[in-house]
Amino acid sequence: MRPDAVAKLTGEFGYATELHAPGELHGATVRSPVAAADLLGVETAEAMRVRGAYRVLTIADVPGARRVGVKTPDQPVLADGRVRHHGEPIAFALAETAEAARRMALLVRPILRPRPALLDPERALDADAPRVGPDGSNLVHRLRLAHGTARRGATGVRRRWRTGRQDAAFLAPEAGLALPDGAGGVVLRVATQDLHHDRAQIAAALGLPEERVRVELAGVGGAFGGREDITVHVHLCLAALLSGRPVRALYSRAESFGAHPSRHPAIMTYELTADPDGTFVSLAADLLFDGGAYASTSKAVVGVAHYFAAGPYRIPRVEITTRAVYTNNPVAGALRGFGATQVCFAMESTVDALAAELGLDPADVRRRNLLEPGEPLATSGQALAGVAAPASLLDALAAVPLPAATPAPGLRRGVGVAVGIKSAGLGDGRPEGAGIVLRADRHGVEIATAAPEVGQGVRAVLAQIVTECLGPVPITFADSTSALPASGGSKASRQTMASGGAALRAATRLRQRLGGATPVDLSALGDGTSIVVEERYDAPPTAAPDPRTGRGDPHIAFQLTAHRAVVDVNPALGTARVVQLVAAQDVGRALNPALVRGQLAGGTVQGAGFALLEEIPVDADGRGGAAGFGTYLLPAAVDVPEVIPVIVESGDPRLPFGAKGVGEGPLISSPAAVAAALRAATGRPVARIPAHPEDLATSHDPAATAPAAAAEEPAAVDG
Amino acid sequence: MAYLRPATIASALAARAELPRALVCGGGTAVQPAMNAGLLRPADVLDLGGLRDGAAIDAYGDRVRLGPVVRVAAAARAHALGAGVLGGLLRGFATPAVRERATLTGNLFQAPADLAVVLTALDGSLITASAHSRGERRLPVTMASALRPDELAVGLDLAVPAAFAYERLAVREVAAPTLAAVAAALLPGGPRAAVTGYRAGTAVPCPGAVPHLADPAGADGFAAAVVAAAAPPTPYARRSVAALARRCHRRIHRGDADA
Repeated sequence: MRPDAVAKLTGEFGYATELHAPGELHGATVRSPVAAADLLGVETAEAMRVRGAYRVLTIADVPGARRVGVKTPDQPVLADGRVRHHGEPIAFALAETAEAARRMALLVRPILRPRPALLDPERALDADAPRVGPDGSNLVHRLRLAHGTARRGATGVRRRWRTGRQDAAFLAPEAGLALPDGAGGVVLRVATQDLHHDRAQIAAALGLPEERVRVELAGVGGAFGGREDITVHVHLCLAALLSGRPVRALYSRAESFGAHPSRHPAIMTYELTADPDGTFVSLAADLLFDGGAYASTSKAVVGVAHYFAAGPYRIPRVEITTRAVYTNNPVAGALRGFGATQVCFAMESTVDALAAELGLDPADVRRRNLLEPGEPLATSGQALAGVAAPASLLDALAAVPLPAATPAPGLRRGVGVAVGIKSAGLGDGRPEGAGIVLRADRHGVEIATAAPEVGQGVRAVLAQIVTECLGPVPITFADSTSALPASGGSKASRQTMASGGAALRAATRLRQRLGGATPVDLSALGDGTSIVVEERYDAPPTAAPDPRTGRGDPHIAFQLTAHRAVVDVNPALGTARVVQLVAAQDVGRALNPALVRGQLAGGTVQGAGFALLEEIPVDADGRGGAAGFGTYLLPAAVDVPEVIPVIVESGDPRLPFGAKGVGEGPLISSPAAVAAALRAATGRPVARIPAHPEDLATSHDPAATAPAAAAEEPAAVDG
Repeated sequence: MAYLRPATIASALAARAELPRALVCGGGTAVQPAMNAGLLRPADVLDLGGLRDGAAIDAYGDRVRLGPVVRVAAAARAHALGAGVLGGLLRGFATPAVRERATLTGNLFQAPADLAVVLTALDGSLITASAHSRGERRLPVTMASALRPDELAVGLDLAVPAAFAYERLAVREVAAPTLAAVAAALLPGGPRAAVTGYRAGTAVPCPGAVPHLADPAGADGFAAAVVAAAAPPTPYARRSVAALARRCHRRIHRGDADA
């Protein structure tokens, strides 16, 4: 059982939202009311008249680096002479109570001189576009590759696809508590995905050595990538150091939606050609990602999207350009799928369109073109190693019966299939390792890991690996803090591989020190005697592709997925209901099948939500329109159909136990499969996700075509 | 912040006179989440949830008067409203938990007021009163914003339908904003219908639809008249309103709404 299961199910789990300390101050963030402006000053006098007001922090109070960022340090700690998106933090108000801090935040008056806002990503690179990027350019990152001869197939389709702004929508909003350590340093308890990345950014902004900053993991209520970027972190630490008191902050739901990055909205043009028998010949793709006001993880998202843009297919000629641009829209960044979700929707939708053009079964077209293990990816040329045959996932889907019940009268049923691929692990030449510490005494084994438990079950997996090696010993966990060896963060579907590998090594060495037998005999350790083992695992190295050729081996391992979706659509209204979802994924080896099934089911439903419900609309002023779960529609119990996870095991021999990360895979091809099912049900192109009812309605109703004059008649007053 | 929870309508009116800027709270399903989220910061709150005389449902002739804190679910179950006839409310409005707490009257003060279209179709009027004046005033259910500062909504007056239908378009069936909705009722005084959506959320009566609604074979005419009243701006909007109207017509005459 998961170590956190009982506490979470009984409501006893301590989330970061509940952190308090004696003598605490409360912080509230002052945010920009406009998308683009020069910040001429910040008036605080009225705010400081609030009873309980303590202080208002601005960029002038930041002693170290004024700009931070999870990958690119371009984001001001607090607005620095300019605001670049609606809701950007301008100041941080401190008060004796949370209510007083909120009132102060409402009364702080930023003096803003509006600038023209750039909200259309397709205009970002125009010569006359407003400049948003820090160096005067609106290009965050661009990759291009072109391989193969210029031959085109006899039949081709060209389509333009769009994906919306999905949010991580984790249930526990951003929160934290910072405490001065009494020696000039600071301790931050916060819900995060990467303790050490956070520490580096905090220390830089505070002008402190990293060892003076300690980040402790507080209870995380969901992450999905949305906690990779820092939010409250520096504000709280700065406030604690300046005040000498504990400081806490908790975002509201509406504030949370705008405070962390969303999934990148994407505009993708695909042109795919084939021979008459369906054999792919060429792919040309142009991918544009709206990065919003700051770079966040856009560069890495571009890399993932670029190298998986062609899916797991054999295509002799590929020509792909991928760009992320700055705009004055809300910041986009990491979210489960990390660019692969968007391009999977585009590629798989294009494959379906080409199959229709050819008059062939789309499943047959896929089977004809799917790579075999060992073949090179069409983009990077990296061999598809350590995976099951992609076609076997289609077999796995086909083995699951379709729903027995027929659709209700008047509804149209559609079935759609999609195949997806993404890396597991950071790759791209970046270090891919994790450290861990095991401490054994006669009472059991304590695991000390900086791998954040964000709800994915990493602690259950680590305990299982240690137990597998040592036998059934009592396992406990030390608090996760930045004082422990770095884990690399809970992101990129990597912790089972990275910290799991470290746990295996550490447990193996501990077993040796305990005599080498399994199960180990801890009773041989005397009272007060303990053995401490620190180990590290580094995954097989990768390398960033050659930027001139686009060729290289950037990936550690591959998450290979396939989904089948069954939907019913009301043709008159365009409303849709998902009836069944089947998710097949090559997981390498399922160390904990229950957790893996949970990941597959959860990610699959999250993908269906992206296809039909989840979107933060941004208005003409650059303001995000999600204030809560009444307007940002997450899949609820009524939306979740029968979900059937199918685990395909094909151990990757290069990885500990052959197990691959699985977290993102289920959200790669699920939206594409739902979109395909919607097309099958309606015959409509479904060129965007989330699909809106008007994209799905098909029936012609004569009553709806009343003469315009009649339609324009004012309604009479009813007596 | 003053928090007042009067026990009678009379004391509520007195409190209203004393605190004319107080935020009035009925079932609390809108106010409480908004306050929790910091979106509402009222100086004072007048909570009508404790009114002992506020949840009455009194039939008179072929009409019924509802107290100001009659819950949506209670109205849908009420014998005085023809038990079960308003079952459409239970299908289309909010979630089961919200229906059990939200009040019909309170919904008329929300934006958008989803139930305005229902109450318009039921020939409803909003009854207001004030501690400063004798007697009551009646307003169209779409005119809740016309309350005077010293007034409270003290009830609703509705016709009891022989048949009723409410069909709603949203991205999903529950817990999603209404895109368009049609309500239709066969009343003692004759059929009535109303439509909402595509006009800033207002509920629009559909007088031209009346003869078609009464005619079991009049689905096409009914749909056309409802579309004409709604004036939806796009072909899809016209088609969807027409589809909702057809479903209402079918439910009124056949008891089902399958397309």
